[in-house]
Amino acid sequence: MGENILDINHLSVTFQNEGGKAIHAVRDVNFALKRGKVFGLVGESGCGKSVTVKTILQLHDKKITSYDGEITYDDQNILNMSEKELSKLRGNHISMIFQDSMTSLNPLIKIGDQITEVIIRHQKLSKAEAKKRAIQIMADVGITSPEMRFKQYPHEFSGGMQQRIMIAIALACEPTILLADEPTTALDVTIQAQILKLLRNIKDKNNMALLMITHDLGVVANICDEVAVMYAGTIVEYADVKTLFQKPLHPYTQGLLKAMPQPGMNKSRLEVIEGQPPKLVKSLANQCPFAARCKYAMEKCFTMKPQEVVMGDGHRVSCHRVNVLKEEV
Amino acid sequence: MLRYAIKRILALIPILIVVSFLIFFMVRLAPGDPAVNMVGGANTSEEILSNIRAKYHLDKSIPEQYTIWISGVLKGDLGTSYKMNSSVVKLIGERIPITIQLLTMSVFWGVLFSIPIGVMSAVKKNTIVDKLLSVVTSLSISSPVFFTGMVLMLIFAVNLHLLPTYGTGENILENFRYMLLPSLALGVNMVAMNARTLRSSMIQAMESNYVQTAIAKGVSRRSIILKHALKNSWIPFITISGVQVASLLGGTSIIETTFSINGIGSLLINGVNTTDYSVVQGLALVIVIAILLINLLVDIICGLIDTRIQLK
Repeated sequence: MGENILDINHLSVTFQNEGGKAIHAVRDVNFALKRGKVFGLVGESGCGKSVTVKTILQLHDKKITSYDGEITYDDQNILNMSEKELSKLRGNHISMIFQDSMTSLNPLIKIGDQITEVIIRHQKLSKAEAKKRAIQIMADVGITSPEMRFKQYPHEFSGGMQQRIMIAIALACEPTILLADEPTTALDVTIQAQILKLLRNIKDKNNMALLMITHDLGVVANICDEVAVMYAGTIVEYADVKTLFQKPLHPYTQGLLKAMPQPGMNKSRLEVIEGQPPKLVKSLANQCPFAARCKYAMEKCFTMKPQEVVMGDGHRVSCHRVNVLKEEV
Repeated sequence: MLRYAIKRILALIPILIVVSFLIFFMVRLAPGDPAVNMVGGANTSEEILSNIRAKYHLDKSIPEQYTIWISGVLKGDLGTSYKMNSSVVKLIGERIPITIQLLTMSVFWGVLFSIPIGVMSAVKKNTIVDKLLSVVTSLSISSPVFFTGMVLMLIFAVNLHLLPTYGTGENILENFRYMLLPSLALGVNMVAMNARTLRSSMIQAMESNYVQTAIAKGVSRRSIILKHALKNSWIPFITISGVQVASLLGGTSIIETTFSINGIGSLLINGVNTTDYSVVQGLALVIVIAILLINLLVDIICGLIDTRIQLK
């Protein structure tokens, strides 16, 4: 096990919507990132994955967001940092790549300038040195003829190449943590595999921690060391990737895995998890968030929040049926 | 870029042909007999009138008159003013410099005020600052040009004696002083629309994914606003400025009358009042060409800012 470089403890994120209602997007989330390891955060749309990760860089609108808990990096709580401290952290110690590279790059600024911007900002380099460094990183992430590409605009790049540029920007200052918000969702399968391979290589080379948001369990199996499954703003199950795929305990995780197509599957329809996730304006303090869709739900599930149970191998799960589940496996 | 510019210029030719037809026939729809207006009385004998009509080809059919006019236009001759007995080209040539100076200064003020107002109200959106700026700019657009002009004249010329009340100076440099108030009156009128346009495109840009990326890169807020967001807001701003300049051209007639400036705006008003066909036709054509050129300039600037536009 590597050392923890980022600790998230009892993190809750609440947004105030326009009607003044509180939206509990993230509720009491705990996990840690380790050097040289890939941590996967999976779950369906709207379960709080992106909100959690954007909270690490404080990318939410301050006026409507309130936080609880702490995110510790380098003995400091990121949630208490000033805007100045944050801007030294962002893109330098902790970087992020986003899902939609097409819109995440500034359409009117040349690629090269978008890379050198972050280098000049954080490292005291001259323009010429920054350019040299940028071209080096472009080559590292697999851009051919980087000198020529340096002067081009984002629309002259393909989707996969744009995502490589995003990665180059994120890696320009050799961060210790890379946050990746569904970096391969908008790409086709071959490009997806290339990008995942690139991320894995870079992670090993720089010994960084990689946090990967995805709803694609194939991606999880491909790259992650540890996985947390999120549902309605909480982590319902947490395990190393092998355990999660072989012995999933939470009914939601089991449902997700069953909904994934397998080679040689002889079914016309995949299994689905019936129903919709709960509204995030609801307080789920006294129930299991998954109760309404769970086929094993008991009375208790609707009146009491299940405690997280930690098993010997670090496998954590929040379910009232945990004892039954353990025996079944 | 050059190919793009040439393509845009060629596209202007058919527009100009159609516009020349429209101008010519619409001028003739205006009430009043030019021959009668020329000699200045309803009691003039038929003989004199028909002589005048023959001299200026007014006795010929309208299509024939058009052919005579357009062949002159192609040779750079816009005809002769009936009333002032002078070549229209010369008349316009004498009066256009002051109007160009007035317009340029107006656009300068309009842009100078609207950029900080637009950026500020976007950055401080929905705060008291934004609302105050909105009130101020609404006032500026609601006040008619001649009224703003008179208020400025009253304050700065009549009461404070800082600037000349009306008229024009001897040369361009002197005219800067004379044009200050009229150009402010015209320019302020343009601020509201421009600032609003900039505000909304800035707000959109500030919420975009690329600004989120810039924040995640640790870029300073100042640089996010002035570099990342503003760059993406120029195109709607410049486009609306082009449209505004076209409407300012109309505004010059009013402000030139208010401040007694002998520009093409007041020439046009005189021409219309005296059914001076060649003056009105010639000016209308010049104004249309000016508007087309402004649009061309807008297209070229936008194409330079966003190279994707050239590809469309």
